[in-house]
Amino acid sequence: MAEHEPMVEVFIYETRQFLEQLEQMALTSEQEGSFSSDDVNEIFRAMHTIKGSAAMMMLDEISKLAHAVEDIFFYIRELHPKKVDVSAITDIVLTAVDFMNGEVDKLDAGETPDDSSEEMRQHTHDFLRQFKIDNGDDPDVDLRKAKPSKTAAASGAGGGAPAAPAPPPPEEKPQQYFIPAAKPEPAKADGLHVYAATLHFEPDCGMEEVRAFGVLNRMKDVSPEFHFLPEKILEDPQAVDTIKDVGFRIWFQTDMAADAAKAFLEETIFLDKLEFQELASTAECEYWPTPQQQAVIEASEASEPVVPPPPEKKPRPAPPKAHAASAEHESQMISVRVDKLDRLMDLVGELVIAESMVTQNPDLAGLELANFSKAARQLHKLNEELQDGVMALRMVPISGTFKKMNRIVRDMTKNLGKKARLVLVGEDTEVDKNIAEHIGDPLMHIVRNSMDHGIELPDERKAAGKSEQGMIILSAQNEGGEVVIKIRDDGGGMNREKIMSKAREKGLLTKPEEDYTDQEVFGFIFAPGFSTNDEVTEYSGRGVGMDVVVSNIRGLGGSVAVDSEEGKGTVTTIRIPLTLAIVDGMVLKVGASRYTLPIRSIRRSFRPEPGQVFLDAEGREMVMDEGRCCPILRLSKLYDIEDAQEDLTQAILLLVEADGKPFLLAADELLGVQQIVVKPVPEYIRGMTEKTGITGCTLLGDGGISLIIDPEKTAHLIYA
Amino acid sequence: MDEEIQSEEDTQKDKYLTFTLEDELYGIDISVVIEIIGILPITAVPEVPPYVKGIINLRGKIIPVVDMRLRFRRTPREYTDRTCVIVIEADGVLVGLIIDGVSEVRDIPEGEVVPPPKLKAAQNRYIKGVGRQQDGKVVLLLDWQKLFSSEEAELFEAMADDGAEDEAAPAESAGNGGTEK
Repeated sequence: MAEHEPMVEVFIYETRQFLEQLEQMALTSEQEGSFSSDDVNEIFRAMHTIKGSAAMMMLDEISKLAHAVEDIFFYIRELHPKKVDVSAITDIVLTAVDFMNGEVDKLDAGETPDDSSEEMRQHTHDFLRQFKIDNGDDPDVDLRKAKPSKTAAASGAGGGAPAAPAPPPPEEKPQQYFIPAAKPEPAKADGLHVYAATLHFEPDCGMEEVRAFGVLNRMKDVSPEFHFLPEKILEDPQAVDTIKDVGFRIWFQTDMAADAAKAFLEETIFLDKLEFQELASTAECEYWPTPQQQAVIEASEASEPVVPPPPEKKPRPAPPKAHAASAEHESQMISVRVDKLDRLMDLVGELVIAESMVTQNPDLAGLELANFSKAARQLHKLNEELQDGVMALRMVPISGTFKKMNRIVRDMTKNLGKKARLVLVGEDTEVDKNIAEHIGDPLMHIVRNSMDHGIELPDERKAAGKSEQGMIILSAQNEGGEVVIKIRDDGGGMNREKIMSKAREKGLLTKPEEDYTDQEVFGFIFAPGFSTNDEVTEYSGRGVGMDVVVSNIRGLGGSVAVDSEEGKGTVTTIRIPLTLAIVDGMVLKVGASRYTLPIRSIRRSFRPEPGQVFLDAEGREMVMDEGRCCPILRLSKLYDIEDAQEDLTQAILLLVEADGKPFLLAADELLGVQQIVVKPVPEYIRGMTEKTGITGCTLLGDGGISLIIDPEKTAHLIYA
Repeated sequence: MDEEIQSEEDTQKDKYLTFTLEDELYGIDISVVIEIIGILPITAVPEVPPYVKGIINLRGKIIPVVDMRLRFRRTPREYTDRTCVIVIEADGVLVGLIIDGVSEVRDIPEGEVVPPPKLKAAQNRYIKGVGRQQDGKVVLLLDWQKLFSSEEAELFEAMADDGAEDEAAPAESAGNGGTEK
């Protein structure tokens, strides 16, 4: 399944969306302390859909778990119990969502989803039982059996409204349902009933033919003989339209009672409307080919599909407004594979370079071309607009990532016995999709840290004169070409002394203690293995985490800073460039080669005075800069370049700071700042250049290639 | 669609693009050849073996180029107007081969190919066969999979120890045999 057939892909996509929706709804409900009837319906419907589609994908464990959870919401929806433990139910929903997410991830990765949900299901069943007893209901009454007519009527009346179709019988123990239900019915001559049904799918569910095929697949298990129109649902391209227009018509024999058979069909996912009717015998069926006829149909491969007679019933009522609106909404959205966007982005990058190759072509040098310049300017303007437009395509609101933090705050408040809420500010801020994905982990660590170390226990907060409930504010905003994300908590803040002494213990101090600014001291918490927690808890204390934050954010080309006031709280500020694909780079010349250095890591550049450069005991060149010894790295030596400037007083030194380590890069000449489109080093030589501090290459305006120097990697070349 | 690929492979079977390197004629499967270009400005890359001359910009694509003279330990020669770069795609990896000049496309049926002698000299590893021609010429057929598979790139570090690599070579070719379409 690693190939991801379209069906699998749709399943993964749909299920993930439902799971995300479920998680958010559960969390919102918990915050509000109750399930609104809309929420109950929505959760029920989402679980129901997951159940159906998972069953179709043969993912029984997911399907059964969804069913168990659905039962709870069914009970809430039908009987409106008074005592609802919202928090416990949220727990159940979230555990189920986690499980399903894990399984879907496996499917996506091409593995086989094989975990058992048995334990969770049992827990869910037990909970529901207790839940019913608490509310004075008989836990052994199966609601679905008790009032099938009511639910059927409800869903019938609902028509195409979002309300879920009538609940299905429990799949995991079908014999308890079907067989006893069939028994009391007066047996027909051969013990089989004959039914006719027309299934209408939701107008915008898509893949009608596959949905219909799913029905047939299930039908095989319960019916010895059945027939349907259109006949060739998968082969005939017109079948989809037929199903859309007149519905999917099916005639079948089964030993199920009418109600059971109806419920069975109503289990179909994306079912909008079901017309169901019991017939006296197969003779009444509009379409029931004799074995001979069937043989003829099957024999004639190229035969025309049997066109079903137009339905005698009145035309299907127009879909309710809600649906029309949502269909319209959907038609304005289109999901595109990210690699297509990447390709487009690449092309635009190349176009930008191609443009400068044309307009700055050496052949044009010295020519006065008024019209050409005019046209070139026009081209440049359009190119810029195009570039902005393509970049905007990749932008997504950061809210998805932010909302995931809700879950962490919730879980941690429960487990740590703290009270806190998460406030999101500016979650509509758009960032590159790549960033939205990679910022999740760092944010999680910071929020955890705030919850664990920042927010105090309710008693402590009271004693300090704060409200019992702590607050974590997650905000995002655009500032110039950067996104600034702040995580602010109103907890206990950080103790400078405590961090300082820990840093001393770890030997992290490199200058006199009194010289450290608060920022620098707080920055120690990002050092690997640094933790002021003496105890290792589930959430923190191991000292991993915050250094991961730093490296992840650096990986995105961003920076992190912390500020804190003891007793008041802590603010962590993350700055990330809006896009990764295009960065500002300084182009340097060394010998005949050109290199590019990201401008963010350059502090300043200067030409050393004679005598300013000194040698250490091992003959390495150094320069004293603001009290720090900065080693000089000659690119010409590092990269073995001929004809480079030997005399440093004639060269340019760039002060670069990476990972907090300063060093000087010696170049012959600075060629200027340029927006560069980062391209990976070709695969063939990537392994060979890994240890050189080169991370990619870029095309320059004249069509030449410049290698991009990674400041962090280069720092590792000099510093131990 | 599979049939299409099949038929395309059939028409390209036994066809080799031949090129000259010093006095010899070499051949490479036409199916891996993407295009032939003249020499372009080359940007040197540090820390690569001397035969990797650097990278070129082929219409926005950045492609590493390998000097085949250096690769086969021949005497290097200045690049001229006749110098060509054959761009090939080997297992998804684009590489340019700098050669003295391109000759022509020749049909060399399997029956006309004899295996190279198992000599101790290292470079025969990259010749998968020697094709005989009616005009008496001999074409050395490159084993591009061994030459440019990404494994080879990894192996180059261990290349100092030739003996160890000789042992690795058969296993490597067996691995490649499986990926052959």
